[in-house]
Amino acid sequence: MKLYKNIFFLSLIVSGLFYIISSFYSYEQKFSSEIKSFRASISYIERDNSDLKYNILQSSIYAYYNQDETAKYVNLLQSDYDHLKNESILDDSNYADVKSHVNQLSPIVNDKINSIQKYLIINAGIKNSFIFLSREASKSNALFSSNDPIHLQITSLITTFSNARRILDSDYIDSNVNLLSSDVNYTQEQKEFITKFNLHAAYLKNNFKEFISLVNIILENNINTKLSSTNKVFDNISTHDTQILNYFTFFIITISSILFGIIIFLLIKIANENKTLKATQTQLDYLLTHDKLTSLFNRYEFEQLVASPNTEYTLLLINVDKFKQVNDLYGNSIGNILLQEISKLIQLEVLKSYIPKYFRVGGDEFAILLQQISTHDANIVANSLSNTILSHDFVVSDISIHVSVSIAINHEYPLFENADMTLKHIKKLPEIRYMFFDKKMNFLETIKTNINTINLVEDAIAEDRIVTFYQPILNIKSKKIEKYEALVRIIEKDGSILTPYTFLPIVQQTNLYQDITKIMIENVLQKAKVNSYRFSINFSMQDISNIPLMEIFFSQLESSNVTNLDIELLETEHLYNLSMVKDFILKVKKFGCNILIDDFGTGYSNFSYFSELEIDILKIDGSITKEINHNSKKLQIFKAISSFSDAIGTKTVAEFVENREIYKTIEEIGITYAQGYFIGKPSPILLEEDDITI
Amino acid sequence: MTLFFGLTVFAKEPISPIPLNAPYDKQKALLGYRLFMDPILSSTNSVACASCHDIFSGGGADRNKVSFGVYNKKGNIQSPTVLNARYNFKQFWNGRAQDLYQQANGPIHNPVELNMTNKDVEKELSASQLYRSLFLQIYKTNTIQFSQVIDAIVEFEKALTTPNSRFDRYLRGEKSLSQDEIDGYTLFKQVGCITCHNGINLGGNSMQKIGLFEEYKNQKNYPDLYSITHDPDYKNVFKVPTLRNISQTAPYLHDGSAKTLKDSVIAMSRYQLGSTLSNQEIEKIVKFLKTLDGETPKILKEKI
Repeated sequence: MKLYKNIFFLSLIVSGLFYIISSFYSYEQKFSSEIKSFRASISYIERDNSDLKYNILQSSIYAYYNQDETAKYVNLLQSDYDHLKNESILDDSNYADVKSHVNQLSPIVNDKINSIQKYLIINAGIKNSFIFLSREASKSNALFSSNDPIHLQITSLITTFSNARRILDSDYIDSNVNLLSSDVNYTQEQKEFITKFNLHAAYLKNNFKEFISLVNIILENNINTKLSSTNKVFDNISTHDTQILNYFTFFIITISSILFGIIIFLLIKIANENKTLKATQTQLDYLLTHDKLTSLFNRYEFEQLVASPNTEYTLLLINVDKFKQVNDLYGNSIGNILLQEISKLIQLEVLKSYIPKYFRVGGDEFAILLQQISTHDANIVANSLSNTILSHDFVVSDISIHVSVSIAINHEYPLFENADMTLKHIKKLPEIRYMFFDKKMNFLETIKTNINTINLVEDAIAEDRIVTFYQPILNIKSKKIEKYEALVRIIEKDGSILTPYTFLPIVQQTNLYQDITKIMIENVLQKAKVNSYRFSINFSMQDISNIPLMEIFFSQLESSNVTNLDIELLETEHLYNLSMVKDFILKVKKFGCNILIDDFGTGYSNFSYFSELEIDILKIDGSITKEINHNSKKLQIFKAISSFSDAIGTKTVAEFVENREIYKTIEEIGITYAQGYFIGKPSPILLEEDDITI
Repeated sequence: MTLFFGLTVFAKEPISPIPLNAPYDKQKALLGYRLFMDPILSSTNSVACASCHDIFSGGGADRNKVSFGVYNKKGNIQSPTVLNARYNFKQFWNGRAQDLYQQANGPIHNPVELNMTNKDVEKELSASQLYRSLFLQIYKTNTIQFSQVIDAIVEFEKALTTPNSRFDRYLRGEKSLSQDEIDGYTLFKQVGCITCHNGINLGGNSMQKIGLFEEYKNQKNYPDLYSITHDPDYKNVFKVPTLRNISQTAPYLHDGSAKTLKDSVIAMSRYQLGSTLSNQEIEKIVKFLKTLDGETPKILKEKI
């Protein structure tokens, strides 16, 4: 954020500076070009004026003269003055003084041009008169007698005029100049001569003063005087302006230098910040993708790599066997050192040709991704990995530790999941150290089935398809049905019936299990309430330890006033909380419940239960019962259980009584109750004695 | 009498020959030529610049005393020649146009001449496929502007120079003149014609008063310099006309009152010189004046 702010600030400064400098530059350029242009205009007029004077002087002297130049300079003076008047610098209010000077020049210039015009007119007449006089005077000698005083008059007039012209002084010609006087005695020719002569003499006499005064006006320095005063005013202002401009230039340079310094400073700062940022970025990238402990890649990086399946990887998933025990035994710090050691060990030289990537993907799990490795080679590599670890003597803080690893090899997607399942499979097989993932392992199928089962049960609960079946239990002595065992069933949508063996083990791990138990409790209590038979319901440790469930059970039991309910305790090897079970038994006994031990004789049946718990009936496991006629060992066990129960004063139930032979055998042995297909299959309605044939 | 030679100083040659290669833009000049000849520039499509400035046989001037514009309206002065006009320091008889550009504006707008507004001219020309393509080609524009029209006409006028007159070639030492013609030139200088008729154009470089030594009586009011400045000194002050191709530009003087060269030489010597020239002198001067006929401008030989 700070960086962007700096960059923003920087670009602002640079553009601002650029703007100031460029606008200053263009202003400065405009100003200096305006100054130059103005000075040039002034000097053009000075030139025009002096050229004009020179031309006018020449034209006044020469008898005939090419006036093209004069005309050119008159035009130039006019246009150059117009140019000066339009100089753009005069629009600047600071130059108002100069402007008024320039404006004051206007009448002077006009006057000059006007004077030249008039001068040229008079000059033409004066010249022509002089030409005439110079041409005609010579004729007088022939016209007049040599002693005629007219000669003197002519000479006097011409001398006067020529002096006046040479000296350009009008004082030579005044009103006293006398024209030629005619005489009545003169001939017509003589008279005409005098008339013509006097015409021109009179023209000179009348116009010479004006001529001189015009020449003087033209030669007058007034234009140059005005120009130099204009120049002076202009110089004063422009010098002042230039000075300001210079100060401003200094200011700009100073500011520029400072800003340049700031820019350099900021650039360095940004460069440094970039460096730090880059380092942080690199570090973050590293932390994101690497395991801190082992410096291998981590699970995140693993998933990134595997997520884009452009490359065909073979995964070796390595789990440290019994690492938890190592940790527990030696402490986490040693465990960590062990993991670090392993992380180095697994980087076998031989793996290098398969472009290996090493990961720590879990607490005690490593992964190696290999490319272009055959199944055969993968097995060999896994073997050598396993051997390397197995044979390595990990010495940590003077303790020598040996560990083994399990390695799952897999190149089929989902890469990790398959390998993980393979690992779990290996763990169950102590002799196997590495294994290739095989689709036949069907792990995924199991999971799918589990999910399907859960869905099925959920649907069944929702659609009220959890039903209770009752299997009759016959009192062998009285030949009467005395009890029924309540058994859970699911009626599928197509009407087929599911036994709990297909769904209960899976459902037991979910909350659905207690829902099923609740349904069973409700159904059995309802049944028991309207029948005089005894009904038994199955409870497992999971049920008994579920306090809210038990509260519901007891409240329903109490409100139903049922006294003909018995409890069958399932999976007795798992009755891990005996005191809780004892409390439960005490409680149900108050409602007249008998306690049955289910499946007695299988697994790790614990005889100690009988000293601790008030048990009324033993149910001998069906796997024993159904073979008593073929298997003598089972018969001996059966008899031993029977005598054991006689000894401790409990009744017995034989399950899986499937035929008459078994029934006869157990009758002989003296078993209290018989249960099984021979007596009656589980059924949604209660089977009566009439329904059975013994 | 030596005195006179002391006060009359003779200078270098007061007349310069017409430059042989006057610069102009030929493309624009050709367009200007077309415009100059084309009555499209008049409100009635009946009068062109060339109507009053006969560039082929009239020496660039009008044979009539005064010119006739649209609806045969009469002008107020004898139309001056357009030939060599670029060498005049000002334009019109009273010099009211500073240059050819200002001059060309005048007749187009003058109600008794071509009687057109700028917009009229632009509209008329834009309606023509030919002019549109010509202006596009030369001025790179799709919209014809009046200033471009003037520019083209002026460029044409700049091309209207008549160099290589016999007199010019004499001045350049390429050709000799007859004795009479030489005498005529000498007289032209000696009697004072040269005072006003000098320079490239033998005139056209100053304003002068007609009737220096004897008042010139006008039949009516002519637009003189007084009509602009109202300075009484400028009554009857006109621009000195050029004498180039003078033999072709009759009638003469601002009022066209002199029908022949002889008439005008007589009038000029009377009013401007205050002298009476002999017949012999006049004839020699006229002979000299006829040596001032120059070549037809090259551009007039171009096809448009």
